[in-house]
Amino acid sequence: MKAATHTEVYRKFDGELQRRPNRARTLAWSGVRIGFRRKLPALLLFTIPAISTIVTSFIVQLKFEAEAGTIGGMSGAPSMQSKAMGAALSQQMGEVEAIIFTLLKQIQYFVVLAMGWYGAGLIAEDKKLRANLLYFARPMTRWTYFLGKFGTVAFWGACAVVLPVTIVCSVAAFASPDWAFVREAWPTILKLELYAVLWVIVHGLLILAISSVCDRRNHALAGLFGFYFLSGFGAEAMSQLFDGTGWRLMSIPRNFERISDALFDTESYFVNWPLEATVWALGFLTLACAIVLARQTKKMEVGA
Amino acid sequence: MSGAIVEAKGLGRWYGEVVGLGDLTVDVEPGITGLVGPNGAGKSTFMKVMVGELRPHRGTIRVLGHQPFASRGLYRRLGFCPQQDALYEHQTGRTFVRDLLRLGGFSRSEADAAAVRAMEKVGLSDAMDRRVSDYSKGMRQRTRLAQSIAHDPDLVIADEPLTGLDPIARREVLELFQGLAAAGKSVILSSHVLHEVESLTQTIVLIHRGRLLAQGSVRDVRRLISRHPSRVSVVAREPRRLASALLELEHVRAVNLAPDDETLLIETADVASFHSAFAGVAAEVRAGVKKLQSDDASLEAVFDYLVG
Amino acid sequence: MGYVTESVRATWLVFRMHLATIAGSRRTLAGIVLAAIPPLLATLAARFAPSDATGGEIFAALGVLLLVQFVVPMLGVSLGVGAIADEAESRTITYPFTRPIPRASFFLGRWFATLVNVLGLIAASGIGLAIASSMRASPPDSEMVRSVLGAALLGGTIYSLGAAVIGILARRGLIIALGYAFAIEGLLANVPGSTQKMTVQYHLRSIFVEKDVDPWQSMDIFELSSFLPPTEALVRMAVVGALLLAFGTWAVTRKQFVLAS
Repeated sequence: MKAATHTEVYRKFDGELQRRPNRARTLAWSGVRIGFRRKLPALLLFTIPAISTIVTSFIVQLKFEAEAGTIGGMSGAPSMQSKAMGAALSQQMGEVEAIIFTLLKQIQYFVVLAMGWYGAGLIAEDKKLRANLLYFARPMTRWTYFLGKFGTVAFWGACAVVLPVTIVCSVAAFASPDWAFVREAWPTILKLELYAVLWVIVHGLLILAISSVCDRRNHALAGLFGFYFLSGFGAEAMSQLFDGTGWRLMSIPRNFERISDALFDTESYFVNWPLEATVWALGFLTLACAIVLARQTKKMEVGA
Repeated sequence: MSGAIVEAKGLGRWYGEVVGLGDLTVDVEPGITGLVGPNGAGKSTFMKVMVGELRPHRGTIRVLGHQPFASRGLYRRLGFCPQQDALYEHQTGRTFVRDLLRLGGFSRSEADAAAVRAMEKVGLSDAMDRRVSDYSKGMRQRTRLAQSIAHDPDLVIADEPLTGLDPIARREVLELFQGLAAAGKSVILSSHVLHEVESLTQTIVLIHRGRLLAQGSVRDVRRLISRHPSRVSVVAREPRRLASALLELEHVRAVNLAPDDETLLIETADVASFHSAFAGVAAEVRAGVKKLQSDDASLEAVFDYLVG
Repeated sequence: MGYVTESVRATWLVFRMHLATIAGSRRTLAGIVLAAIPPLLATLAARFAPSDATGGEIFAALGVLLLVQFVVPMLGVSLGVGAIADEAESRTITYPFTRPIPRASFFLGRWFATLVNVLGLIAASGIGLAIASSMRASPPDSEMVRSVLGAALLGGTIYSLGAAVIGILARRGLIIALGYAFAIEGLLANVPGSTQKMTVQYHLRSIFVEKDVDPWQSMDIFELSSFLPPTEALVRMAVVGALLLAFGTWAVTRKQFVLAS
């Protein structure tokens, strides 16, 4: 008889392999599921965005009812008086796009908190627990690993900002007569979503880059706090001294203010520099994060 | 007054919904005592309660006459060697032990001399001036042991002290414990490997699922266990035919057919006779035996008997 | 030996044992980088800022916006929280806690060692900032440097003590302490109203801000605030510090640290 060893470690897999496995999705989804295990942080982080979304949806609904003069679900043709009242109220409430934009501004910092909370440990904990030994011992590239981790952090970011904007836009679309909101304001809807997605991408990359240089989740979160506040306070202090706004390019929120000015034709007092400067600043930050991530994941891969 | 060094009455300690200790009542006499039980039995929790790292949620405990939690009186007479592989990584083995002795009230020179003695006792005199971060797992284990004996305590509590040691170091540590006992000190050590404890002491405390299963000398506990029938499992092509033949044997107490319709779970009062008779019976009825396994090999099985 | 003598001796021993450890930790190294930022930015401003920015203004802007508002809480919290929590996390706390010393002494010794590091870094950062600002015309006067530096050191003490206490009580102490220092304090301290008085920042500002004097006069964040007399602010902070210290020593004596094997 031919000699053979039968150990648990090298047991052959007899199941059916997927022909084109999406490993990044598997990795991302496992990260999301781990996040769902603990309910309290989710409750704390998402309560305010959820309340803001509900209130804004209600306001948007009210706005369209006011425009139609049918506030409070009055049936039949609206009277002249209710029309006049509705018009006045509608004018007071402002444009629907502006209402949604206000919501976006209100909740965008919760995105940083949510993504920071769920994302700070994604790579740091892998390093601490040496999970990279498991990941990179499988047919998984660094790119797949990055996409998986980014998928997790982007999911939480999307829950905190893209989803609320989408919900309110949907409410506006259903509430407006003959889908007028979608037909007339679709460029703004796209811009709102673009702004939200950009916010999630930049912060997601930043969080993962910080996570990749730490080996504890707490340290990564502290690093994120540090980076955010240092760039914010430092930029403010230096811009005061230099009588100029250039230093504020160091601040991520200030750059996004500039983007929102460009997208929504608003004008902020503090950010009167060309849009290209913001593109360069955020591009530089993104590139720096990508380089850090590439180097750190390479180390993890080699370490495996 | 009782002469017990540890008196635990109705101890309960849990971690959320997980029971660490459940209603543990035990007295530990002076000398060397082995605290044995499978992984997760509650040995470490009991040790942490004994050294005052944790408070029991229920019941009372006294160690050397003291309530242990944060008891400075007790800590003057107690040495604890924890299971976790944690040391002050930037220190040398000698400074690690010396600094802890200083906290115990030793003067600088006394502490240094005692640290050197302790490191010698655990066989680390050559390496004691190296940083502990450079130590092997076994050396780290011995350093932990050194700090627990350096102040010449009346009682040493050691949680899995033999883990990670090579056979020679293991022997040295066992001899060290024997030396402590010969000098009139008491040692309580935990292990999930029964024969390690057996080689050191005849006195054991068996814990399982946070409860006391047995206490006393190993021989007495064995005798207690031998009253229970031994278990053997057999996988055969013709299990029913084999079962009826086995029931003819005088020492076979019970035969159960498992739901897979192939496996027989047999209880016998005399396992040696069973094994000598089994081959003949199986051949006679053409049972087509695929597998024969004694379920008594593990310590877990021994505990299973006691749990009932 | 009496209890007090024994406690003082144990505190001193713990302090000495851990001073070098904490000074050489990765957190302290990160703290050095952090502490270097205000002097570096001040050097940049002193060399390149427009000529109407005086040395006093550079010191005031960076001293308040960066040193007191950011570097002090960040250093205090991130180092302070580890006073006990680091020992619990590395599972070495078993050793001192099974020695015949009061647990309070261990807390005090570790916190004092942390405090020396925190205050050393803050002092270096503040002095570096003052020196760098002095390269410009109209440098900050010594009174201003003293008051800002004094407030920064007091802030470092209070933040590190508060964070050390949080580190005893909570597993994720760093996050909670940072959340308090930046999210809660950051909001309350900069919103007008009586809620400001609940923050450490408000008391620190009370110590160094003289509203009618340049350069404080021109700083936006102080426009809406009315401050306490410096002595009162100091006394209140001393009371808070004493309460935190008492609570910390009580908490560490009662706390059970469940360590994984």
